[in-house]
Amino acid sequence: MMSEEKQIKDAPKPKPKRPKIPRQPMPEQDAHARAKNFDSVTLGYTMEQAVTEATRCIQCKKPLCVPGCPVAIDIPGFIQLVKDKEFLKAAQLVKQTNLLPAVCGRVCPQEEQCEAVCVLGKKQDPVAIGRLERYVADYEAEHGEIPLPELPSKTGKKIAVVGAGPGGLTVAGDLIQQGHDVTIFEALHKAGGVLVYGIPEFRLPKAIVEREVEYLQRLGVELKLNHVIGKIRTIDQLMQEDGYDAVFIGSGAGLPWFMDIPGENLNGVFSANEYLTRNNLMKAFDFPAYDTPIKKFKNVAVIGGGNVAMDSVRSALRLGADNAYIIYRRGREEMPARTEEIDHAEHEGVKFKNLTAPVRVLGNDEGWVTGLECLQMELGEPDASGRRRPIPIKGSEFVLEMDAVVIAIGTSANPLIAQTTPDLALNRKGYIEVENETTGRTSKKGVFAGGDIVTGSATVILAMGAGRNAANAIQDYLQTGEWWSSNGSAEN
Amino acid sequence: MSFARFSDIVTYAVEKETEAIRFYTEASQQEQYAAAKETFLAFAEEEKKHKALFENLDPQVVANYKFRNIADLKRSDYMVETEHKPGMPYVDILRLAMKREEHAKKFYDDCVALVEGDEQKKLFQMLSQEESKHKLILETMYDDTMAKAGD
Repeated sequence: MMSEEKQIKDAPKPKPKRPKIPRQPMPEQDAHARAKNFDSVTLGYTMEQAVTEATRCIQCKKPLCVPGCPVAIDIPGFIQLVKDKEFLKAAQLVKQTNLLPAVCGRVCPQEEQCEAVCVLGKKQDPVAIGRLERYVADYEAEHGEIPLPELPSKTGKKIAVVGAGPGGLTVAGDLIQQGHDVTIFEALHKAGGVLVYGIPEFRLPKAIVEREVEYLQRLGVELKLNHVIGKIRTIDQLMQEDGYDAVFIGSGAGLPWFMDIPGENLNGVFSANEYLTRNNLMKAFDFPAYDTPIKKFKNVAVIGGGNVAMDSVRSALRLGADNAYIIYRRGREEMPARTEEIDHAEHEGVKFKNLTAPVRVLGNDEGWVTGLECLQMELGEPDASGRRRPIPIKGSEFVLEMDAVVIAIGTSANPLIAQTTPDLALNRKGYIEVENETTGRTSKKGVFAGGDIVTGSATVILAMGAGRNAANAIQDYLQTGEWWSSNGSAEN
Repeated sequence: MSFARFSDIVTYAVEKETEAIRFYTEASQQEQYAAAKETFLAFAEEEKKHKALFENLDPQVVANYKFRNIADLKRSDYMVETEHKPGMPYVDILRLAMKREEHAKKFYDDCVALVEGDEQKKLFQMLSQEESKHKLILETMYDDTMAKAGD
């Protein structure tokens, strides 16, 4: 029997513990100051912070973060390059799979994707992958452009991309690099889709989107703005008369839903789409430098609890509202908005009225909004799915004084393309039906679709992932000419 | 309209279900897309089940009918009236159907107070509960869709 002393002597020495480095916080504008301007809320890491954060990555042999990313960025690879201070190389690596890193670094819900599965997250905060992605993209923008990739010789194939949102831009970027001619048809006068009309300047500076679009144009993508497909040309005309070999539809879900309550037609009631488009795309916040007016409202109610609602209510504050409210019928924990956006809104002074449902918009004799009648809600008994749904508390009506109401409760697909393409199958909810999301093949030969027009409103990165999948399927279709009939068999 | 006899009420309820079946079937025929057609046809099928249930009602069935608490989410109750327009979005189709169930339920609830006999009262309560079930199914579908979108 060994003595106790001997045992202690022979026991393996514990490895010296590497001191835990905390997740590096994101520098931000002061909440009080930023609530009055449209400048970026988050300021981005310093080089020191980026390198420190990169050292937290333990470089897993089988990283979970990569499959956690809808476009499968080589996350450990680029983070290692950040650690080595090879920032341009890191940007180059990210751009191999993600055309819009500066965008995704800012608006992707990493906490639900790559960071949600980071091994570090089991015991401490996960690596700030999104913040590092943003850092390398911003570094590249500031310190030099990545040289354009060498393109293969032209194939002679023509691709039409309908919609210059994140899905469409991804498809265009992928297919131009396969040697095809790619033309994007964008209904608005600027490319970017929701990135330019939906997400405010303080969350995503528009110069970043412009830079990414310019990069595509330098690659050779043709951009036709002010082209409403379904009005100027139909999908059939693009294919039969204009010689396009394949079409990708990425026209988004831009048809706003209203509440169908009395008073919704009063002056001062906006869809979030209109409110945000006026401000973001048309730069109403910079009137008269830009020729789009927007009335300064004192009390603004934004209905909804998603990211669009947060963008709207924070814009209302910045446009000079004394009081900006979120009116949400459920509890905070059910809000689909990113936690970061909810926190930012709260810190900036947004007032949250949760478990509150609007039932009537009140107005004056001139037809302008004067108030919002609401009901207090409570959570009912769990239903068969276990969900406790909000139900109104009888007699709990109350009125909030308002002069504007912004409705951000969801959108559906604009029906224009479907109406002018009769053989394009739609699903029950009116979105384009695809074979599956890994191909984006529609019911119409040579036509693919992806992003919100297929899934309903989702995230930028999911639209990009759908674009990547569709681009691969288009390439396959162009090479083989094979299509899939609805019974799953191949046809030519 | 007289609800003096048990059979008067049953006849009326069957007629209302027949009207609902016709409404949804015609709406389906006016839709361009298969998916919207199917949604309306599915609603028509549900009304057919009600019609079949009501056609076979007799006082004994009603006497044995079990009442239970059906949750009322009241999603449609504060909405304005709506009508079918071909091509209307999915959420509007749900709103239309929810509103119809709300009206049917309210009508039967009002009738409970109007009739004298216990048998007639119980029959109207039963009809109201049946409409409440449909309303809850539709409002749950609607609430799920809206919750996901941020409402």
